This record gives sequence, C-alpha cells and structure tokens, in this order.
Amino acid sequence: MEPVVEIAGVSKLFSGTPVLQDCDLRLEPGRVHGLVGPGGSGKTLILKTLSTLLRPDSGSVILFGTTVDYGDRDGLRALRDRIGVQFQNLALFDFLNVFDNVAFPLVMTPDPPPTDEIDQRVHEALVEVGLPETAHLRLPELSGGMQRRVALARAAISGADLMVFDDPTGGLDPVFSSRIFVLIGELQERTGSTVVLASHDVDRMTRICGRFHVMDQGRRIYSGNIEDGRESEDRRIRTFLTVEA
Amino acid sequence: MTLATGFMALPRNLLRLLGETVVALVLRPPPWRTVVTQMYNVGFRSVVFIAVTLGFLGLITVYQGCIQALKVLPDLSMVGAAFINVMIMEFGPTITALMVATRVGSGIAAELGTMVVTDQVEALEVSNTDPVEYVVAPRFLAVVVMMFVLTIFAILVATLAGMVMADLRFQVNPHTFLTLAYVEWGDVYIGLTKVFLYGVSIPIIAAESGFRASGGSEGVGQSTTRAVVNTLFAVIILDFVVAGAAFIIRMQFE
Repeated sequence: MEPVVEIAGVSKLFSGTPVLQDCDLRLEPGRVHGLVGPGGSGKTLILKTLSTLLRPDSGSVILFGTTVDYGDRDGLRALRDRIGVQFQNLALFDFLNVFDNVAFPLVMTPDPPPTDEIDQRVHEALVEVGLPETAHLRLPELSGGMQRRVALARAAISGADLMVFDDPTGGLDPVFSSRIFVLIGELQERTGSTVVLASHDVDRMTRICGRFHVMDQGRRIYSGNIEDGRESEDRRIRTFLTVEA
Repeated sequence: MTLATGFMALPRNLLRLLGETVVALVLRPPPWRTVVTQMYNVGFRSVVFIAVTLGFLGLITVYQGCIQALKVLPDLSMVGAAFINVMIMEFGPTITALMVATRVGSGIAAELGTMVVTDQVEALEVSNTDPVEYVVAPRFLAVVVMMFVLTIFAILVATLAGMVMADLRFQVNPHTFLTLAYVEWGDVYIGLTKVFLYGVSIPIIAAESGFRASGGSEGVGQSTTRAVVNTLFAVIILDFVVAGAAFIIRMQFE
C-alpha cells in the first residue's frame, strides 16, 4: 500500500545545530500513528516537515505520492488542502472568536461550502470537543484546556486526508485527555484519514495508535507496534515506549 | 546571520515584501470591511495622539517663530504664511509620519511578531492563506490612505493652534495669519510625495520586522523595537531624499 507520507534522509540545521539528522519516516494510510520521544528529539519538527511548513536542508518529502516542491505554490496549496494540523502551542487566531477559528479552514478553501453547512459543521465539531456553547466567545475567555479543544476542532473540521496532532492533550486533565484520545480515534475511524500524533502520554496513545515511531536526537530510531518496541534491545526505545503519563 | 549580512538583506526583504503586498492588493484585494477596520485602527485611534502632538507643535513653533522674527523686524504679517508653508511641505507630513510610525508601526510589528512566535502564521499557511495577503495587505492599504487623512488633519490642527497663539500672544489677526501666500503647487506636491512614501514604507518596514520575530515574548519585543527604530530612520531619510530631490528639480527650472 502506498504510504501517505514518505520522508527520506531529511536533515535540518538551526543556527548551525542539527535538529533533524538524516531522518526518515513512513506513514501508511488509514491508521493512527504515534510519535514519541524525549523533549527536543525533533517530534515537532518532523510534524512540521510532513505538514510542508518546514523546508528541510536536504532529503526528500513525499506526500500522497507527490514529492513536495517548495517552490511550487500551487502544488503546495494542493497538498495543504489535504492536511489538518493542531499545533503544539495551538496557534489559534487571537483576533477571531471561537466560531471563526474553527470555521477558518472551511472558509479559506478555494470553494467554501454554503454558510449553513459551515454553521452546522462548526457546531458539530464544537459539540464533539465538549464546547457547544462557546462559539461566540473570544479566546481570552477560555481556559487553556478549552483552547486546546478548540484547536482540535479546527484541525479536524475539514476532514483532511492527513491529520497532524502535536501534543493534543498537553495541559489537559486525565479525564479529558482520555476523551481527546477517544475523539481522535473515532475521528480516524469515521473519516478513514491518516492520523499522526505526538505525545508523551504513551499509555493513552496505545488505545488508538496502531503503530509507533520513536524519535531521538533528530532521528527516527524505531517504527513498529508497541509490543515489539517494548521488547527492543535498544534501551532508549524500551524507555520511551513504557513511560507512563 | 552576521550583522552585515542582515543589514544587506534588509532592502531586498523590504522590496520583496512590498512587491508581494502590491501583487496581493491588485490580484486579490482584501474585503473592504477588513480594510475599513484597519483604517479605523490606524486613523481614528491616532486622532487624539496626533491632535495633541501637532497642536502643541503649532503653538510652540509659532511662538518661537514670532519671538525670533521680532528680533529682526517688528512685522509678523507673514508669519502665518511661512508657518503654513512649512507645515504643508515639511512638518505636517513628517511629524505625522513619525507619530504613525511610533503608534501604528509598533502595533503592526508586535501583532505580526506575536503571530509568528505563536505559530499563527504557520496556521495561516497550512490553511492555504497567504499571510502577506491576509495580514499585511489590508494594513498596508489602510496606512497609505490614512496617512493622507491624518496629515491633512494634523496640518489643520497645527495651523489652528498656531493661529490662536499668534492672535492671543502677538495680536496677529487670524485673517492675516491664515494666508496661503507662500504656498506654491510645488510645495503641495512635495508634501504629497512625502506622505505617500511614508505611508508605503511604515507598514512594510514594520511588517518585515514582525515576520523576523523569533523566540518568545523577548523576540516580539525586539522586533517591535526594531520596527520603530527602522521606520523612524526611514521617515527621516525619505524626508531628506525628497527634499533634496525637490531642491535639485527646482534648480533645473529656475
């Protein structure tokens, strides 16, 4: 089966410091992929790379069978139409209210759906994340956890082929963390999308992630299921895959 | 990036951003509601700031002008004409631009800088929204238009303040003060040219600085400071360049 994402030999330097080193990653379609590793291991950077937001210094990125050409604006637009991202620090637009934030990916498409449909889909997305009464609120009126749920709704609303969640439960209480993971799992089942999520909450990730990828020092050091990883001879892989939240 | 490399890259980055902004305005004009909102932020919210600054400038300039003029000859009949001429050609556009650069330029840089460090710009990009088109273009158009409005307003306020000072302190009749005797069309063109160039340069320099923000709140602070310093430099340098160019052109015709 052709992978949705195929990253090969990707390297990136920031101010002379290597942050991604000859990194590769392959994501098969239609499943939830978990990305784990210590802080600073390059999880966010690899997620930004596969979202076309980070241009590597070397290596290739192939999305949906198309090699990413960063100079081809139309090609990038076509790829980005198929990607939904929840950023680690949420990246909600503070000049818009909750409704407009969630509706943004729908409104900004070249062929936006009718207003009634946008209203309905935003309402449904907010109900799913447990925030049905917040549409009219400004972001400063929401708690950090509520803002994280709004970001989740925005990432998921377009039903993209590839959904990227960077630490979707950071700062959330355990009860709602579980609910978020369930929501992501249900979302994937309903849409059939490929989902990749980075988190430190390995315990809860095991409930929805069919495949894990372990990052360390800018490299992918493991891809496979959780059981094999936990029995790996590499102590780092065993450590990262057995860490509890 | 070394300091020298950064300095050399600045004009190129500014020209590229200006080009992208103009192309975005021509090919995909922003919604008029967005532009009107930005014009309100740039213009209406600057009114008090500019009125107070230019009002006091008018009072002080006329007061000092009259004191100095009286040392030479006891005739203040042309003080108003000279003052209005200088206001149209020099102080009106330039002082207004310095005020707009301080208030609006810093605001644009801080807003964009915050969007950069909180990944909002990347969120726009992944939603296939060009940050230049969505954020910069409406602010650019608003500043260019409102610079003309604010400059006219500033000249009126300063002139009225100067007139009051001349009347109350030096007994110069308002009718005598309010004369355009020294104002030529060439002076008006010089003033308009300055206003246009200031209006173009302030939002572009501020936005470029905002886009270069990195890190956290400290990076936003640095980009805001850089925006204010660079826009103030730009206003002063443009003032000198236009005045110099006008002088050379006038020399050709005389």
